[in-house]
This record gives sequence, C-alpha cells and structure tokens, in this order.
Amino acid sequence: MSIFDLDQALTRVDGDRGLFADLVDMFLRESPKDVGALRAALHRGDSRGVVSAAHKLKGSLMQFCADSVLATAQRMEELGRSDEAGAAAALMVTVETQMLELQDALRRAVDAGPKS
Amino acid sequence: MPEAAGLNVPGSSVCASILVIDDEPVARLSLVRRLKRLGYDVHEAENGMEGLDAVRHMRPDLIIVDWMMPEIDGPTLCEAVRAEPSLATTQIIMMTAHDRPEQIAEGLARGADDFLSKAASIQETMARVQAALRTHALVRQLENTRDHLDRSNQALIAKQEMLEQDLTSSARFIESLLPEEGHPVPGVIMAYQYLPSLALGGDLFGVTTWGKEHLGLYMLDASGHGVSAALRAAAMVSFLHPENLLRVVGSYDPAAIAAEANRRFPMTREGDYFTLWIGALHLPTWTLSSVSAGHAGAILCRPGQVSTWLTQSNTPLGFMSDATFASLTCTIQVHDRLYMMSDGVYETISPGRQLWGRERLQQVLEREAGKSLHAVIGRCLDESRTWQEAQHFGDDAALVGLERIS
Repeated sequence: MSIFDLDQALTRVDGDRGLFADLVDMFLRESPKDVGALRAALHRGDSRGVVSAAHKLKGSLMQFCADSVLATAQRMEELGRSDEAGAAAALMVTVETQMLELQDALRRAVDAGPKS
Repeated sequence: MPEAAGLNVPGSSVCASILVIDDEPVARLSLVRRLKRLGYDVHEAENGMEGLDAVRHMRPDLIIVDWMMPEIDGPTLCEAVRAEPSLATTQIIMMTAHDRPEQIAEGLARGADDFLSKAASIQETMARVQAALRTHALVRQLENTRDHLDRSNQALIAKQEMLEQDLTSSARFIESLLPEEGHPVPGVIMAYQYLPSLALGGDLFGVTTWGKEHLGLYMLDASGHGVSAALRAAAMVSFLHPENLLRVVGSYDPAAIAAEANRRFPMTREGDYFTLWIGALHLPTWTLSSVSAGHAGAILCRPGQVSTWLTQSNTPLGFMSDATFASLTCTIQVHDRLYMMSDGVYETISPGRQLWGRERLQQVLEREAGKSLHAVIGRCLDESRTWQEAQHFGDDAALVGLERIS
C-alpha cells in the first residue's frame, strides 16, 4: 500500500501537476525542519512544542493525502495536548521512518511525470 | 482545469481580494495557487503579525486564516480585525485541522464568519470562498445603501432647517404687521392674542385708523400654509393700507373694498385664495359696516343680549371676478364688544374627532362677558386648547377683542 494517495493528491490541486511538483518541492525543503522541531521539542520534554510541530506537519501532510503518517502526527499532537511527551517520543521513530518513505515516494511521483 | 468557480456567481467578483494567512508553507502555497487560478487577487502572509499588517494595508474582501499559528493565532487576528470599523465588511474564514464543535463556537464568538477544514475538498473550499465573497458583496451593498441614506438624511435635515428658518423669519415679519394693543382710537380699547401655528398659516388681522373718521378692522385668511401663504397675507395687508384704499377704491366702504380686493387677488394657479372679514367703524356715529367674504370671523357681544355673528353668505375672494359683496350695518353702543377671530380658534378637534365650533366659542364669550378683554380672550383659547388636548393650534389662532368704553 502506498504511503500517499497520488490520485487524491492530484485531485486536490485540480490535476495541476505543476502545482503538485511545486508543493512536493516545498515539502521536501520544509518538512525536515518540522521533523527537526518535533524531535527537539520531545528532547526538551516540551509538550506545547510537540503540539505545535506535529500540528504544522499535519497541515502539509493533508495536501498529499498521506494517511498513515498523518495519523502518526495526529497521535503525537494529541499526546502533546495531554502532556504526555514521553509517550509521543515513542512514536518519533515511526514518524521519521514514514516521512522518509513519503519523501521518497513523492520524489518518484514527480520524476515519473504525468500519469498516463 | 475546472471552470473558474467565482466567475458567474451573483454578488461575487473575480477581482475580489483574498488574503491567505498560514504559517504552514505547503498548505498556504496550495490554497494561494488554486485561488489565483480562479482569477482572485490573492495575497499571502506567513504568520499572524505579518497577516495583520497586510490586512490593515490591503483591506481584503476575504481573509482565510489558519487557527493555530505562533504569536498571533487565528482567533486573536479575528478579534483585531473586528475591532476596526473600516474592516466591517471583510469576511473571515478560519482554517483548522480539527472540527471540534467547541473550537468552532469559540472561533465564531471571536469574529470568524465561517470554518474550513484543512482536509476539505477543492469543491468545498471553493464553495465556502464564493459564499463568503457573496456575503461580503451584500454587506458592502448594504453599507453603501446606508451611507447613501445617511447622506440623503443629512441633506433633508439641512433643507428642513432652512425651511424652518424661513418660517421663523416669516412669522416675525407677520407679527411686525400686527397693531399695538391699547386704544386704537379714543373711546375704544383693544386686546388680542395671536398664536401662529408651527407651519405658519396665512391669518392676519388689522385694527387701524382709516382717515380721520373711520377705524378699519379686518381679519383675513390666505389659504394654505407656510411662507407662500404668509407672503400673500402680507400683500393683502398692503392693499388694505388706508392710503392705498383711498387711491384704488376711493372710499372706506367695506363692500367696495371687498369688490376691489376680489378683482386684484384672483385665485392662484395653485388654487389658493383669500377669505376676509372687513369692517369700517364710522366714529362720529359709531356705525359699523362690515362684509364677510367666506370668513366667519366677527361677533358682536352686547351686555345682557344674545350675541350676533356679523357674517353673510358671500363667496371668498378671487372665485368670480365680477362678484359683489353685501354688507351689514349696526351701531356700536357703549360696553359693546366686537370680537374678530381666525377659524383656527374654534376649528379645533377633540381626540374623539368632535369640533369645538363657533357655538362653544360664543358660549364662552357670553359667559365670561363680565371679565376684561384679556381674560375673555385667554379663557377662549384655553378652552379650545383643552378641547383638542394639545398646546399648539393646528392653524393660526388669532382672537381680537374691541370694546367701546365711552
């Protein structure tokens, strides 16, 4: 099963592959910062920081219909809200793995060009 | 590419300006590009502080703002926008990654007009944008209409003030034409009250010597109200000036005066005319000749006797150019009183739609006959006011009393 739904993601941008490529490009540049911010907040035991970073990450993940990683980020945000930064830390490896997989899949989708 | 969503929506405009405020760059880029493709004038800001500056600078038709942002979040920005009257028509859609009812309630309470989930489809997003812009256009239209009404109202108030100043000046002018109380000739005492209506009627009276042997008396009513009626009344007063009467009538005979006035003051194109009661008291013989032209304005009160209305069934002035006017003649005895009055004195209406009328006025005049002229006149006006249950008369109220004292 794919880490994201390419058809739905393209539908969200009215099939505009140029815009999709620009979004992927921006995501590849910006999302590592969000992941870094999330990791740093967990390291500090900063629940509010966890909520903020996970929430921001969610906003970009929604653009690509990446449900599994979105669910992980959502869970981390909820744990942050309930001041359970420790429990959220246990999900960090998962989110990092999923993010890498997503970034790779997005790159390949853009490189593959228009869908036939 | 789908058809531009905002192009054919009534009240919506393709030139509408939209400001997108979101600290998450991917979501912001996605929304901005899609809105631009639909022809909107789209601006963006990457945090609440920058967004608030942009709002104040560009005054957008629609703001789409993310709920959760560092420093100034969406609800705080909403409150800041709503605090500025110049942004009253700007619509705000709050974006959120949640759809929690309590969050929506809070957002609405703090100034948002609508909500949009960050996961919303392109169709839902565009539908909400169009609805918000339609609302903005309607609110703007209402504001413009209100501004237009405000300006019209101001103009009307200014015109009304001008008209009221004109009425006040005219009322002062009319009052300047009134005689002085006291003794117009030896052996006669006179008192009166003249209360011009708020709208200024065309009622005027005169008590003045005509040559060496006559005391001229008249009560006239120029139909209509306002400055025009007052000016026509003033013109009639000029006509009734003794020197003018000698020149154009050749005598002080009330019938001849009424006939000449009838020729000189025909009914106007607007249908305005005069009614007149006019009398000439010949002082050597104390003989009063009088004519009433459509005016029921004088009554003779004799001590111990039933009073007599000095009226005839003549037409008002100006109806027929060759009209003639019958006159009455009577002798004025010592202690006789003559009252002239405008119809405004007795044509008062009770809240139950009953007329006070001449008969009730006559009853007061006879009942109070033993009192001074001032007291009788005051009593009549008081009873008329009491009847209508209002302080101001709807028409000019003039009541003049003359008594032969020797």
